[in-house]
Amino acid sequence: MKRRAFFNGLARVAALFGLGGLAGSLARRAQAGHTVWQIDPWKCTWCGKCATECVLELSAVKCVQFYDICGYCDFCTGYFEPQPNKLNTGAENQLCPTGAIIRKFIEDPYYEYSINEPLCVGCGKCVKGCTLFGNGSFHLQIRHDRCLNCNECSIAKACPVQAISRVPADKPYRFKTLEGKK
Amino acid sequence: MHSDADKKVSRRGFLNAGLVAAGGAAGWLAGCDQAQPPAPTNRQPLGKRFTYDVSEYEKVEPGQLLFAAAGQIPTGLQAASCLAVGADDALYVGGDQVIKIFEKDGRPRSALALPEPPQALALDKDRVLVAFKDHFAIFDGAGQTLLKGEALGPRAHLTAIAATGEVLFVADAGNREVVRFDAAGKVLGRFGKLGSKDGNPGFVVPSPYFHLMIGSDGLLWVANPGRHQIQAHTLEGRFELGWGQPAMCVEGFCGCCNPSFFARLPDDRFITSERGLVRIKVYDAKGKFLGLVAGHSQLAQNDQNLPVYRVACDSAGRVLALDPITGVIRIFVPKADEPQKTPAQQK
Repeated sequence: MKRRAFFNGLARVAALFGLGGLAGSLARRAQAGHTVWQIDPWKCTWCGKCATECVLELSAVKCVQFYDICGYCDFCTGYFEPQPNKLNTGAENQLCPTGAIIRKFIEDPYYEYSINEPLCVGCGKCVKGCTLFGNGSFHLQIRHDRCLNCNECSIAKACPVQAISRVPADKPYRFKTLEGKK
Repeated sequence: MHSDADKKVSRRGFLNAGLVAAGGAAGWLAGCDQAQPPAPTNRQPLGKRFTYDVSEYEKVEPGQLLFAAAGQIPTGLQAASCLAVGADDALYVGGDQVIKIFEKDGRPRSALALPEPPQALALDKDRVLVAFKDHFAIFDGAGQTLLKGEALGPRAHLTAIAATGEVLFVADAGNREVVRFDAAGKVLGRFGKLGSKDGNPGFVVPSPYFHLMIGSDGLLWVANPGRHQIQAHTLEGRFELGWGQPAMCVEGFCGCCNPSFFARLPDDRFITSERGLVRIKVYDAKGKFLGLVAGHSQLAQNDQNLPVYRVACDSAGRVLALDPITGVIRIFVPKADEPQKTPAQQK
């Protein structure tokens, strides 16, 4: 066989294999129905397993702030220790063990709280504080820029209340709306 | 007609199809994102530092309990929302689209049908005052509408109502203000909005818990939950005084926004109800902490669905607490009035 014929054959093999691969990949994704894993905040019990059960070293689960229902409280029970020394940003007053919540003054007596996601480990400590005493605007959610979308989610497997399920990929987040509760 | 040669698959065609199929299979597997999850790392459970724990504040010293449970009245309401006590100590409970009236011993007396779910309820002589989401209405004892107030707009979320003489007040948590009405249901004025120049410190209302009532002292007492206070105003809306401070410990009001509801005993002591740490407490008329009616362990079943008890008092000094989740009224009597148990009963 001539060298040219050999390379022609090789290129043909690669092209056909690639074409088949592309078609197969697209078919698989279409068959999967475009779903992703997500946490139902109405069921979540803030048990802490999201932080330790994810296959990623730093969990794909993060606290997110749903501003629509936040009370913008001065004494935010998701930000402050239950009995803080003072209502300021001193580390000893903060509830979050990794300092992942940012407190910003808006107007007296209202403050805005946002999450510094790279610092958040998804432990749910702030979510519990906010939900028990406040409006529950802090939720744990699976962030899809990090989630590997495993076939079998190891957090879902460990969740004690089956709060994690697949949702349509075009609506990948679940917030605490009254519709969501129903 | 096809020839036999056409029907035969050439070796090249067969190999081409095989290559495409193999590529498809590989692509299918690659499209699985992660065919199987990698084995989880053997991580330890989170330490105490990562756990939200207020159990220390849920404890109640036995000497602090001034009241004892004395029974329950199931109302049968799916969505119980409000509670009031009539002049004859009858219990009025609002919820669903009805007000159910019970005798003081719990026997059902009657019911008043409502056009929509009630948000708050109060009694003024023989009139039944009901606050709906954005307006109020006054009914007679037979359920006939005597007056319907004007709607307060799309942001309105009424949470309490009270009346004295010719003036009626509603607490509007949506607009974070108290609205005064005349006897004809016309708005006389509003006060307490943060930043307004009415000399009022301003109501801070982070959640839809914003209670008010008129005391026997002739003052309008309003909960200011974001400031953890109960504040007194004249009937014209001028701020007079306030008491209360934020604290998880039993003397203060816990969380971001408490007290959620309050009532007054016949001797003018305050009964307050809190959310988060579910506790019903007793303060004297000047706001000094006296003790508890009931603590968290008596009032809450679990952490996931904590009730916010509506409270009322009757002329005998009983405290009535409506659990909005179960629709049950829990009755508490002062410990001094608790029937003494015989040794046999104690066993």
